[in-house]
Amino acid sequence: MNIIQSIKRLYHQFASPPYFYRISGMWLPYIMGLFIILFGYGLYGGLVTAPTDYEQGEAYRIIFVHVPAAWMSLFIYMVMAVAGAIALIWRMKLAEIVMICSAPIGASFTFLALATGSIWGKPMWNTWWVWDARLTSELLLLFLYLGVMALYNAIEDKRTAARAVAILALVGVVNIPVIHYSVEWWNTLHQGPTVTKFDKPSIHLSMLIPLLVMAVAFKLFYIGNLFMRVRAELLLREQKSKWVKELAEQS
Amino acid sequence: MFTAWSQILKRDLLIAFRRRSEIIHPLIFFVMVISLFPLAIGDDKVLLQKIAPAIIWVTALLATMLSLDNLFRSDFEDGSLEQMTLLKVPLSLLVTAKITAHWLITGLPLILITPLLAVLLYLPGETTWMLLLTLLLGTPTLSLIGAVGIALTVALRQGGVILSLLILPLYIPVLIFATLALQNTVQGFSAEAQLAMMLAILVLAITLAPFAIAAALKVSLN
Amino acid sequence: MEFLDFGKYNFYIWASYGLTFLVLIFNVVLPVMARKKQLNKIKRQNYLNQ
Repeated sequence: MNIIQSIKRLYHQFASPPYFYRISGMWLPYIMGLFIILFGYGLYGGLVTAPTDYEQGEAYRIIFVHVPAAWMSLFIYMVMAVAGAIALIWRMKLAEIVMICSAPIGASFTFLALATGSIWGKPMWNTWWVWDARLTSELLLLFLYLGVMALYNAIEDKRTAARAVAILALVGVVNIPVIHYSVEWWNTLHQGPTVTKFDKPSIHLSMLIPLLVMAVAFKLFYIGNLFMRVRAELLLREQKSKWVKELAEQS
Repeated sequence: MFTAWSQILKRDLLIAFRRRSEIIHPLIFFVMVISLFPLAIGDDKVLLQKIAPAIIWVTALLATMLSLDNLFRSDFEDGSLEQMTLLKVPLSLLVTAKITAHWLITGLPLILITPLLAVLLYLPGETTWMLLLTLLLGTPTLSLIGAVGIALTVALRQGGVILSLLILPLYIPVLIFATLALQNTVQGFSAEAQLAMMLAILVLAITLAPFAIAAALKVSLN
Repeated sequence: MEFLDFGKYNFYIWASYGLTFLVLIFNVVLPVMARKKQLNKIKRQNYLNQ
């Protein structure tokens, strides 16, 4: 009985906007601080310490932002979908806000993955774009994100909007493996002029470490940025409530 | 339960037959847009033959998208949609009746007129059969996925624009598998794998989409 | 700083990393400014409602 009670208490606490606002405010500087440290370390590792690649020369260094960005684009979509499911099932306001605030961050990383992929393509394969399986899947992922953002903006009542978007996000989740699988199939059947092959089964440690460090750094950025956006959105949504008014006075 | 289902199906079909424009307009759109391509490209038999499957499929996609508005709009506006949510029969089931009607009204005529268009594009017989098969497997999926989109946007003012943004990414795998099947057929290979995938996607859509559509309709009715 | 010269790939590498910086900074600035603006707005409304 006690355990259930304390879980319930934790749930109510966590889902309460003023509590989340306070806690996220406390953690934010540490999260962003850690992000800056890891980001700097990853930059140093990627741009300075990692050796020149045998096949691709220096241009491969784009991988240290390109791959983590792509990983984030997928990771954030999953978080968004899970938040959407929670919002639909339990009608938790905070879940709705986390879901909708994740979308622009996810879209940013997807855009970054596409742009850096394109920039990488030019010197390597002399083309700004190629309908490579991964680039195409990423492009479609970007469309999914944009659709989520567009639908949310189009519906006036934000709680209704959140429910609609949650449905859309979940439908999209089902489609992500379908998209990736279909495009991969499509791409391998039409062997393009180039094949993006940077998943060597054995990657040198001096390249792997900056990559992983950047990946963690990006995750930290996501959490921090999410907190920033959620805090702004909470103030907007709860502006009529007492805790927000008192908060504004103190600031 | 079945009577409610079949009644909704009959009603939608009846309405469509009375308002024949619902059937005719997407069909005319389909035929005209496809005809634009030989007009724009010139009478290049080789080229037309090569891109014919792609043209027909993309246009079918667009025609389906245009026709989706008919699916829920009138019921939404006159209150019958709300009535349907109040019935004891689950909304997700009733929705499949409406989608079946929609496919019979849009998808099926599309499929029936395709052989004619295949001739216009110099498509050989063997490929035409495969084209018909992919359309048969694909258009119900397009109706189902499209229904999710229109259910989400039916209450919106600018719904049409957003609709395309929402469902085109979801349509693309269907398009990819269909055109892959056709390219394989043209080159003389077997298209079994692609057809199997299209069937799998259709089954997935039939089982999952109705729930998403029902949920979306309830949100839109708010 | 010679080790930061990547030869013919300079433009591409710096473009990528520069873009990354821009995207990250843009994402930080937007919500932070929005929050400040919102707080000021609420303060003003508090004052007006007194």
